[in-house]
Amino acid sequence: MTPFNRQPDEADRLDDYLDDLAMGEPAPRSTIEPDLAQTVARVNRSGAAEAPPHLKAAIWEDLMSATYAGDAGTMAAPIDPGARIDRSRSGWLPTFTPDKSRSSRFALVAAAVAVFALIGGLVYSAMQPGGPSPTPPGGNYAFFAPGDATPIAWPEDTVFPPAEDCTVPVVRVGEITAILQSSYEGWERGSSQRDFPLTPADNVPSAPPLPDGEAVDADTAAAIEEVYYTYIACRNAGSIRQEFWLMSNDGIARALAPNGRPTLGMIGMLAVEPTPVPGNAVPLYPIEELRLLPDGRVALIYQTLGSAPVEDQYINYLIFVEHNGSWYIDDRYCGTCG
Amino acid sequence: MEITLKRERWGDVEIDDAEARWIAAAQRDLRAFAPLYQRYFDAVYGYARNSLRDPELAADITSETFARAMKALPRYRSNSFRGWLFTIAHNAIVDSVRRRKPTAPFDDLLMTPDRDPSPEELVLAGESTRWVSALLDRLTENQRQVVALRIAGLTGPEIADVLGTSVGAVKATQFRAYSRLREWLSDEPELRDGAIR
Repeated sequence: MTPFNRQPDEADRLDDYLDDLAMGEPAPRSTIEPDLAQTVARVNRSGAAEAPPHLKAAIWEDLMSATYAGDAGTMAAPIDPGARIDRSRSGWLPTFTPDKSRSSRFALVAAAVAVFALIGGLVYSAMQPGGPSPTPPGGNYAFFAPGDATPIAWPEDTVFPPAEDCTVPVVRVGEITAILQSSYEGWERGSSQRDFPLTPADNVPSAPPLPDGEAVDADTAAAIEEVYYTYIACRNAGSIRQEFWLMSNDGIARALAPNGRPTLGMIGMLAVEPTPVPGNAVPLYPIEELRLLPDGRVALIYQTLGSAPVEDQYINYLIFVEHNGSWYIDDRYCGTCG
Repeated sequence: MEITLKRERWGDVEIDDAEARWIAAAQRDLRAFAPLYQRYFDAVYGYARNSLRDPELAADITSETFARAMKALPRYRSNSFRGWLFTIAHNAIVDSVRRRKPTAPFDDLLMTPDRDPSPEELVLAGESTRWVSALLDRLTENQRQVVALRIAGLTGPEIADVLGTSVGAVKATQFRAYSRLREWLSDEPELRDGAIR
């Protein structure tokens, strides 16, 4: 090793000098010996590596594709899909190893998801006048009916969460497939975690009764209201897979496969490019009540007005579940849907 | 993208307020990570390349670093984003070296001479750059790491965080490193032929 006699002052000055360079100071305030400054400059010049522009763009594209692409993709995913599923509640998913017959049955479900996502998207797009629309024509998914039959005169202070406020990531189709696998196997085992029926099979003008419960505390209310707001913003963005980000795994499974098997109409919407529909925005319906249910979930209750000629008030629920400190939509009941 | 240069001091590290806003936005939506990526890509790539002396591997490490960072961003609470990001890069480099040659000491692997440069690289890099790079290879692993992080633009406290050491140790190490480099560069004519071959 080359001997040296380190002077504390010199080391401090060099450190200050290098810190000034690091902080982008145009002229370092600290002075060091000229030949040492020249050494620093030469080393910095030799080591400063500007990556090829195509590399920067390619890596960014890979990162975004892996994070937001519609399928698991063939490129190496830098974000572990399993971890992404953890966003909601990995601990809640059934963890048993499926037997061969179940795997075989699930293969049909998975294939249906992939094929339906492709074909259903095309069919669904073709059915829309003027091109693809993210707003489904009805059914359970038409949860916040924007009222395209007779325009509703909203009060002046009505809030319409804009699409730009839908800032959550999408859930990838590969993740949805995994969620459906677990839920499907759960159904096979009769282990659905709901302890009372909620998702309506038919048009029901009056809400099914909810269990009694206390009001939630202010922090819980604020957290749930934020998810509620973002959820409607994502509705207005026409981005179903971003809505799914705000839903629990069971919630996603119930939305896509209310009877345990995905339907063509629901899966097909996964393939539709998110597109906001101008003039068809969903409002932030005022919350009537946030009720703590006996199973620990929270019901967000709000009312909607039906379209003419039946302009009754309808009760709607969003049921939230907490996982790892965050709240997710676990189930929905839509009074005006049918 | 225009960068606001208003600075605040968080602990020992200054940050600009634009970066704080980018981080907050990216924690809500990873697509907002773009300006952070734009700001730090070259520095991370350079650090990986200077550490590993392999452009292809450096590209892989850079990709892995940003992927890890984006995944961990919701949990980010550090004072220095740059220090946090380079800690991830440093760990990715260490992991990569261990994967490549699990039985070889880290120091030996980092001392592996550069591969033969392509004609294009020779033209671009120039002999002077190669000469300094060869000298960096002669430093100890610690010294080389500190210098590589300095080249990447990190401050002393950030380097201390990345390497898990004290600011005083970084100060002493970098002084030894730059003193040795100064000495070697002053002997350039005698050493040059022997160092690059």
